[in-house]
Amino acid sequence: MMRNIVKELRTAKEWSQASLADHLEVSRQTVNAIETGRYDPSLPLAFTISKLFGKPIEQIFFVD
Amino acid sequence: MLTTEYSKKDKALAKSYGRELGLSLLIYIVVLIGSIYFAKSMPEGALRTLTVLTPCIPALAALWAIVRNFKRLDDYLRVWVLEILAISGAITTFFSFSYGFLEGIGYPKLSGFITYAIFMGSWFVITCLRKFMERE
Repeated sequence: MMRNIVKELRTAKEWSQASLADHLEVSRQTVNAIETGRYDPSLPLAFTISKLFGKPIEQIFFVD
Repeated sequence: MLTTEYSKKDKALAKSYGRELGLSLLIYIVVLIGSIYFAKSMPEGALRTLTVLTPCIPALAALWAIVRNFKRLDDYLRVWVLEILAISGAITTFFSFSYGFLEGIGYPKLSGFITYAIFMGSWFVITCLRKFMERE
């Protein structure tokens, strides 16, 4: 199962889920699903997240 | 905690979908009322058939609005909605399949339109259930 630290990265920037969703141009529901592990983002979205937080994808998403 | 905060994408989706679907449904209602009114006083024939079919045009516009909305959804929401549609389809199929056995032993024959009601009802109930189960 994939895990991620998107929630930790988001809260470190003091962003709400809706703010992160605005940065990623997705719905807030999508951000919530990623953070709770219900959804693994597509490769383009993972790259956008990686670029936004300035970290390589493998440091944000990893296998548990 | 149940959050009511929405992203710009959520708001843009709701606005576009609401406008397109709302306008289609409004035109549908107007055309439906008009077609019923005019068809009543028309003699049987091709023109009357065409008149009662005119609400299909705004209904197609509503269908177009739904398809456009699907295309605007992000990957996750598209999968989310399509999963619910698939489950609703399975429930509807299961109902019609099961009821077929009951009709075989004398249960009343139902109109085919009942499948539409079951499909839409399942869609609504599953969406509400899933939103409730996935609430934050």
